[in-house]
Amino acid sequence: MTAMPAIPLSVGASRVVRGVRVPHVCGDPALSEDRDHELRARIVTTALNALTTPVSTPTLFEPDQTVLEEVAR
Amino acid sequence: MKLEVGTFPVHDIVFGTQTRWQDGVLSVDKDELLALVMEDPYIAWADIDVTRPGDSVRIVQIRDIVEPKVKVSGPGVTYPGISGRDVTTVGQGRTHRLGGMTLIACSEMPGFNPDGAHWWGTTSVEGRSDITFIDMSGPGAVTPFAHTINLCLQMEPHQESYADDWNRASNAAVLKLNDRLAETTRGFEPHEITTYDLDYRDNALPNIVFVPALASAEYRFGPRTSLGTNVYGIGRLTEPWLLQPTEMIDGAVFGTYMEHFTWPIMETIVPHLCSRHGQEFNFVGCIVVRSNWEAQAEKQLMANRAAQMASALGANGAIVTTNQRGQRFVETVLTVQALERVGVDTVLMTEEEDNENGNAPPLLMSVPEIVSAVSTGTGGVEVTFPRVDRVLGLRQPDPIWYEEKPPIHGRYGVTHLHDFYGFGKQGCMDF
Repeated sequence: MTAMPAIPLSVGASRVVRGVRVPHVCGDPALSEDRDHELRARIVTTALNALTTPVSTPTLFEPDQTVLEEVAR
Repeated sequence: MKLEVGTFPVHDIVFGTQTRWQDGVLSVDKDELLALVMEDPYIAWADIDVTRPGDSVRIVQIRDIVEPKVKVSGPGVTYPGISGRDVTTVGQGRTHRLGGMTLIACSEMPGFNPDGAHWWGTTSVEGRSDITFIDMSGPGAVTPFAHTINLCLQMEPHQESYADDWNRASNAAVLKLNDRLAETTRGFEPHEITTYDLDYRDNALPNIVFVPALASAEYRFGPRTSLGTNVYGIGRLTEPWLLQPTEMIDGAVFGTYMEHFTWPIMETIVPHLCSRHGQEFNFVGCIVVRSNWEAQAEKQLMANRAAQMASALGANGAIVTTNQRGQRFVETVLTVQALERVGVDTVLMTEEEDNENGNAPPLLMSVPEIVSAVSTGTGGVEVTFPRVDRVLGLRQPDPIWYEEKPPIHGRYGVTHLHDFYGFGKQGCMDF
């Protein structure tokens, strides 16, 4: 889980979940408490789903989408 | 823009009863200079010393390094926008420089700003050898400043100073001395004049841009901070700046980010490219990319904007540099990628990471668009630094600063050399 997916993808990490920003990867203090909680849950759920998803190439998982984006190395 | 740079060589600096330049000797009235510095109530103590190549001297606690320069004709002042200086566009007319010397400011750095939450980091870790210091002799004398005569301004802030207050005060003090020293050349004919006529273009030659990515301190100290590398006194995270190369020679980019000083960004690639302008290529501009954006989309956007600027300038080639590892390197790599994608042939010039005996990649991040790169080493200085007779930079240096220092192994975050522009004296065999 990272705010900079380009880095792990470039070194060949299998599963990468896009986080928010460098100082707050799994949430956003600019949001209301409810929205922040929803965002955090979405990111963590995406990470858990990623763990159970077979991949063959470095793959980026976007928390704001349910679809997976295949990323070529 | 057309800029003449008049060089007044400095073969020695001596203390005397008046401050003047004559026949390659800079004479300085220490009392006069110290009185200028001590005008500022933030400064509790100051002293001035001179070091020469070959001296058994170690300079520590370095805050910044500049070459004394003054504008003798044309608009503006050198090092514009810093600590309240004029922001008139520079880069035209004539600038006088004192060649072969630098002005080095040394001081402890207060760690915090009034909100208390933001730590600048410290350069006062006693005895650590991998932080920045300059040995003027011995096998570790590998920085360019070991080969220049240096006037060292050593200062101490009042105990209650905050980081930003002190930075403004120490920058102002450095520039007061810069002005006073370089002013000694006014009215004299330079030993040598170099003319950079960037208005002249040869349409048969390729167009080159220089694209330095320079970290901003905004993420830590907020948008109005004076800390870090500034462009005309502004250090905040902005879209890329377009500067004429001669503006950079006049000091439009100034300030220390962690251990990245002013001298390397001003005195390396830019004057070198300027000197070849109109002969091998046209040097059409500098695009300063501010790094330390916190989201990848922001970094991508800045890279895209830099590429658009280069494209609008008609650039055929670009040299891209970085000045800080870690997430700051992402802007750099994305900029290389964006430039290549708009058809600008790009070379990346950077320090490498420690390759951990072949187990780690040399760059934090790599993309297929990096097709040519120049390595400036790993930051390592694999020699023993011998014991020194004198330590400059502190009123009462800890005895540990005089001692022999172990070799510095290049690794992530090593700050001793910080050579991102190829100024070092080491060859590939040293790394």
